[in-house]
Amino acid sequence: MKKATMKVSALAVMMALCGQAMAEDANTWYQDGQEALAAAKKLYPNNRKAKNVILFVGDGMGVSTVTAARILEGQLQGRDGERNKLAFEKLPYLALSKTYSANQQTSDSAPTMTAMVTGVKTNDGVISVDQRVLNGDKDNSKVQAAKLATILELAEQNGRATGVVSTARITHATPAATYAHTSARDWESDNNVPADADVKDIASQLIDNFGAGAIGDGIEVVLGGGRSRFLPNTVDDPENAGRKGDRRDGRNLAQEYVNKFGGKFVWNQAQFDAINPANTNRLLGLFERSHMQYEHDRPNDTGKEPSLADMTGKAIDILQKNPKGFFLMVEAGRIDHGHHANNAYRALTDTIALSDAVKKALEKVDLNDTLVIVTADHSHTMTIGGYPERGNPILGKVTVDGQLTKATDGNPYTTISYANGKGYYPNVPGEDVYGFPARSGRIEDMTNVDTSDPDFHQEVTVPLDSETHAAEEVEIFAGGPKAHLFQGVQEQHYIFHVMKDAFGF
Amino acid sequence: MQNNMRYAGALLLALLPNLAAAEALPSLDARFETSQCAVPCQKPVKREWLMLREANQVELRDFNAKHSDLWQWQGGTLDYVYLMHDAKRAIDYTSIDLRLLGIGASEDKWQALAQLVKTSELASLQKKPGQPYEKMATEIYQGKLNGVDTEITWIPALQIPLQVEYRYPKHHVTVKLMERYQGKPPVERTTSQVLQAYQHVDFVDIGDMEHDKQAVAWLAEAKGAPGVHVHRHDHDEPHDHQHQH
Repeated sequence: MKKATMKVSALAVMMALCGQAMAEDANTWYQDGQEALAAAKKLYPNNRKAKNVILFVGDGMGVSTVTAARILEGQLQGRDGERNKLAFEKLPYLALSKTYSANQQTSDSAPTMTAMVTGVKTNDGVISVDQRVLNGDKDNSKVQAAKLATILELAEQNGRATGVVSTARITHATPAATYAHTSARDWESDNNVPADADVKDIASQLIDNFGAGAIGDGIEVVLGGGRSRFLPNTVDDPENAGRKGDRRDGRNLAQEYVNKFGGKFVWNQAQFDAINPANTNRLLGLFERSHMQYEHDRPNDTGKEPSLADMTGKAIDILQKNPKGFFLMVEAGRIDHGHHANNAYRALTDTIALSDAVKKALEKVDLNDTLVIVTADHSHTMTIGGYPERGNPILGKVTVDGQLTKATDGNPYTTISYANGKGYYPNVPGEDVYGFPARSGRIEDMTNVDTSDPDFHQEVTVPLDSETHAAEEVEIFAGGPKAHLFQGVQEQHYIFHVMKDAFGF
Repeated sequence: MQNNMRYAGALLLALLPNLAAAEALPSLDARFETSQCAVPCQKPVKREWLMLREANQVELRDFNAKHSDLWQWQGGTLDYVYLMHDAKRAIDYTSIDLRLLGIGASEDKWQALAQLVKTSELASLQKKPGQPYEKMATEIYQGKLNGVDTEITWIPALQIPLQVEYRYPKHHVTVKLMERYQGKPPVERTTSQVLQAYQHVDFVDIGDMEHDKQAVAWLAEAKGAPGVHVHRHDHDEPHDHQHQH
């Protein structure tokens, strides 16, 4: 009831803003430009070494996603959406990142995150190994020979505290690339590794790659989803009755984290909230068997779970206790999933959640000694089209002067659409249409369809089982030491080199 | 003793139809037949399928099929698993995934799957006594559901229809309970132990697998998995109404 009321209220605000004349004139724009110029002139390169580096990754957060999320956030708050700025858009430096991989024009998260955290582009599906390894190679000696040092591993070797936070499974490609080396991104637990392969699964590498006889002293903070990959198939899942862990090797990696590194393990919001950073040096939080909830659905989770901002804040509180500094990677992992489902609502609200996490981080760190980077691994095919008037609800239909704009087929259309994907079902949303396959193309008449419904999925042109990634550049927002090095159009692996240089490694 | 308690519980549920869904459903292993036929009927199209039902789980499987649909209702949440038995693979769907596929994940949906008709639908029809089935009382419900002439022969003790008949203007659809298995059903029930032995993939992860040749190969066999394959067909094509197997 509360959720429904909030949604209606937000929609009412968006509708009220639609077509409303903004209190702007020529002077507004001129002064705005002057103020931006003055701010730019005050910028000076910070050439100090970075004590801390925080890398935020919006999985699938292309340029159009940032634009739409910016507008949506402003409109949901009853403000001017177009002039709104997400927290990371206030960082002073910007570059574009070319996301192709060694063998893909349009790439997936495994090689793109590998590029960002190792400084080397590689092949599709492989994680933190070079391009001599192909997706699914089963020979571990080949993987070991091609291992690439990650920025997290370098930080560990140099005495920094380290952290990995994600709303996806912590063994998913993006977070995994910071601490694991494998030929297959899907080999997340030993249960997923084929019998004839001797490559170590991703989850076990989070324990085995660190500590005595390995690198550093262990990752201080690990927060995200993917609990089943850490628990054996003999142990009951603490949240989901009747379910057990996935592991067949009998290892309880959550318990091993506690035993080997002296950490604490939590799996729900209450336990997380009870963690006092002052007396906690290491924390493993696994809040879902698989991915954590979308931000929109988080309040309804059975076990309750913290937001990305909550996790980021607590991670920084713990990591900041290391006087030498820290490296933290934070991923908004479900922007990508929302897009794959052609569900712009969840992709955008998860982007806003990332903005909230960046805001939380900026409240806790000093940009004089902390390099903050916000970027994406790749884009998606979502686009913003038509000529909607200023203030038009970004999730709405294109309108001018309050009237629906009609396409040449005589029907209205939404501002946001996708180039490909599953398409829509007849009589969306909310209609039970199991058995009716999705279709591409136009919704016959969406005049009375609430396109801002959280479950609405936008129209697509090309029918595919799932919407795909897109190949254009993504943004790199940056502030802090060496942030000025982010300028122009750069290769994605350049990000690693700036982070390493900023740390002085 | 246990059976008596079960039947007593079922009787109570029948008396309190609005509360029925909140109570545990009796276990049921049964074979059904769905037949569709144009009016006048000359060549009915028939399909036999199995229902393996427990209190919070129902598995639906076409007779002789190598895959089945497993629906689990827990804590007000409906989850779904598409099972590929030969390959020992499973695709897990959360209620959010289902909603984004346009598949209702509400209690209504659970009732439609586990009881074939919703409690609210029964309540909207005219009721009269029916002939006993295996010494159990039956009730006949008649009237219109969504404008369609409908007759349901309901077995309160089992919380399942003996027969449902939808009479559309141009075709009829009938779902009939053919056999109730008191012993071992003809296929292995998918228990939590069986589930544990399967390779699981989250539906939401499939979007990142389209470049993975191995994944593409086995996903090609997941022909009935919702949202995995996009096929075009006429959306006016009739379907099973409540039986959404």
